[in-house]
Amino acid sequence: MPELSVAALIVGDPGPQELWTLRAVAAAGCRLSVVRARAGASTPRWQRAVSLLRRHGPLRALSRAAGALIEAREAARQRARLEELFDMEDLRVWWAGSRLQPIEVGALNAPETARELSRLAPDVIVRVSGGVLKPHVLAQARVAALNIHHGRAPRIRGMWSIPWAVIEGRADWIGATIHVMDEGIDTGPILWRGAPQLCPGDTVVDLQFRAHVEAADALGRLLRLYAEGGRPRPWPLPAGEPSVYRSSPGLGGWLSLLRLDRGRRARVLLERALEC
Amino acid sequence: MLSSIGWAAMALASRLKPGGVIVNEHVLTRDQLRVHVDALGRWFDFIHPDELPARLRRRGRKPFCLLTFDDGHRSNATVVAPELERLGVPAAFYVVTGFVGTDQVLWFTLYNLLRKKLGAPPPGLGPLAVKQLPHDLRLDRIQRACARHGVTPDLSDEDVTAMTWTHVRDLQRRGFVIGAHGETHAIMTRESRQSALDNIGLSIARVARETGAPCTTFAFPNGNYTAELARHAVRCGARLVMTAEPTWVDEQFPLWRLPRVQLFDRQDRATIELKIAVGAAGRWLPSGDGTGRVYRDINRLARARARREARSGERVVTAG
Repeated sequence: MPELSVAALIVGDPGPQELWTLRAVAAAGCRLSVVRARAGASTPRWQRAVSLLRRHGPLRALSRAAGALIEAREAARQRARLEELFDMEDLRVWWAGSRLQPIEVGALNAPETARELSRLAPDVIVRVSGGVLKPHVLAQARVAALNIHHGRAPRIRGMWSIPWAVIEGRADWIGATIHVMDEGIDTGPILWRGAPQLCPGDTVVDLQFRAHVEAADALGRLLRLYAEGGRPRPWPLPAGEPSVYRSSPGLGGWLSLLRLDRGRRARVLLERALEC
Repeated sequence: MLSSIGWAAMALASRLKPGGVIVNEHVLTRDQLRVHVDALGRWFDFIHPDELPARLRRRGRKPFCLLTFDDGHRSNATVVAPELERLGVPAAFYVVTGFVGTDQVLWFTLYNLLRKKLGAPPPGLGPLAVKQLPHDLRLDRIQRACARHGVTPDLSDEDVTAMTWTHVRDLQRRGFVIGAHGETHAIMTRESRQSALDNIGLSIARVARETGAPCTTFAFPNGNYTAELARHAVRCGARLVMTAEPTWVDEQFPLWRLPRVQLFDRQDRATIELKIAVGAAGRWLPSGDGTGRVYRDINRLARARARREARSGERVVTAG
């Protein structure tokens, strides 16, 4: 049986969540190559600002700009907590000893990324970090290009899905999804969807950690299935499941999350102590 | 000073507060047990777990105290139970079913040994992280750290080793209640849903099988729970389900979500009295399950629901 070839795409130095995913892929017995881009797939900041102004008007654009200040702080806080939960020290030791030599490219969607991938001819591409991949990159996967989305797609797509679930009181958005990537954002066919248990006292980071651990395990299982020549069945979804897209929260969203003590005082979690 | 404050607070609490307290202990020496029983016995009637539902409904002369001991360490059978018997105090022992009768050591025993040896928790096992991890992952990290730092438990220490099923059956024969405390000491809310349900069901079934009697009570390891898991324990046969919310218990609490106040081995009479009295307020003590004072919000929500349900019930009656 030929070995499954997997190309993992990362941007910059891998953080705890990314290393956890890479280790899960390597543990699945695949021939793993890592392509590391110096820049993500996002559009330049000024272009985003113009687009925000055009789409939402000055007030919401201002709210997003103010929210970005909190977002940066929360992202740093989240990373520090995830480093401990995922045991970053242990992951760094694994990374250093893995003999994986990342192939360096400029930007995730640059032509050179597609060229490098074409040279590797991977069966499966796994997007480990970075933004939305363009079709010329996705097309380099012979079997599938996969992504872990931290939220239950298609119900919630986009960024910060678990914080959004807490802010909007939507328990059914909390979880993780593995899907085949297409041109949309978290819109591709779903291969696995799961959710951690929700309980009082959880924060969004705790939920993200547990969702990611389950998702990385599921990714390993999917890769083993591909390696055996199998193809995963589409994940059964209720017909007509509604879908929403959320980008970064604005100032109001972040303040709501902080008021809910990052989830610890969220009604959607407290209720788990009282009802099934 | 502390002694006077504790005494005054307890005197006030025992007069004003209905219900009583369920106390959660782990391992105690004979002397420590006497101190605890003496401190509690001044203010409370010790009750058998079977009496709990009735005592929640009617107010006694004194508030009640139900003593519970978690985990199933051997010293519970060889030190605590004989002394309780001598003092005439009933109690429930919650055993980790996959631990009883083995030469294994529970994860937190190893973790405490590691912290003691290193002076600080090892990486990936900080106090905020360790109780967030799924059981297998936590155990793997702890065992690797123990191997790396040469930490080995003292298997001649009865506070470390497990009781045998013969001990468990003997405790039951002597009138103590045996409850289930999980197949492993996994924190159930950190596991996948199915794994937690299986763990709970397996441990309740195993207590019943080994003792030859129905297992009617379950205590969540570390106290973390959800309604779904608690109701599953009830479906598996448990009538009383224990958490670690540090408050007194009264008739407002359903039997599938009973709070317990944790006491520790070295606490003296004054500290115990003060802690139990503060627990009566139901808002200041941090929970033993590591979620701080989140239980206040849960109980506020539960009371609001009960009021709403009562109001809607009244309206229905009036309309009828």
